[in-house]
Amino acid sequence: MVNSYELDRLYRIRRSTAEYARRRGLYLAAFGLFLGYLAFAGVRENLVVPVLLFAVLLAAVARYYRKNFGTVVPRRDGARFHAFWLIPVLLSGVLVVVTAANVSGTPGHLTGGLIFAVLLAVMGGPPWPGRGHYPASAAVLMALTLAPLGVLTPSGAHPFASADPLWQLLVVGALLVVNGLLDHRALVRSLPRPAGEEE
Amino acid sequence: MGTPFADMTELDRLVHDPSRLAITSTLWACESADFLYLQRVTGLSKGNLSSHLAKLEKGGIIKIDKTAGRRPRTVVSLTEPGRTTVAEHWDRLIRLHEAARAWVPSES
Repeated sequence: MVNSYELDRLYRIRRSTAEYARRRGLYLAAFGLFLGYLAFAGVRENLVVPVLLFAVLLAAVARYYRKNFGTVVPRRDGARFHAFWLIPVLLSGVLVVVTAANVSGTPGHLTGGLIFAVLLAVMGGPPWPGRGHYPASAAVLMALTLAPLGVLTPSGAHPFASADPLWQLLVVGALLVVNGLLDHRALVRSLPRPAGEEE
Repeated sequence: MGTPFADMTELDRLVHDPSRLAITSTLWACESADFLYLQRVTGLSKGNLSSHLAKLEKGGIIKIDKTAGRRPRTVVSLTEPGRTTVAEHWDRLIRLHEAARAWVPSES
């Protein structure tokens, strides 16, 4: 007879497997680095080098996961596939917010902050079981966007409104890196190296 | 009236072994997984995992595909009947577990 402890272990195994693709956080961390890199005007002038570096980084991450954790093909009826329906909804939402901001003359960094915060919150997949860092980082971004940080700068302008570096993009990149590393930590904890095979 | 444990006789022993239960639970949550992932998630050694996989394959629960090439891979998935067996087994397990928690032995 399977006891409660064993049943919990089986539930954890099922959840780890179902969420394996989402927990490979180094992909998100790499994307965060790429976004952060793009925050600098000098980099944005010539995109070939950062795009190539990003491609190399993605290939290295893919190799790392394949070699150390193996490969899982997610279920076709799983949450990951249902989430694809969200993409057109999100894109339409972004279009509506940008249009409304342009019509009302809302500063770009406020619109950007709102869009990135919603995207961050949605990426965690509500109701965020074990992924509370996503809504938390969305709240941090929104707070930084709305806070009167202009009083701290010599020009009096909000740092997120600066053209170079694009502080908002830099912060979003940093938040993606942190979220990605937290997801990766969850993956490593859920898949311990088998006994006797430590390096 | 019997105890809820009478249902235990119907448990499929091929699937009910703890290691094989971990393997089939993993495969139930995905389309397929490779040998390395199954090893990581179950914590079994290579030899043990191979042995359990062979038994499950012989019982028609799983399908094993081996790819040749520079990096040979072993990909494992549940067969259609295997998926049904695992789902039924899991339901029976949950029912038994709930019944065992609620069961109070009679005095007589």
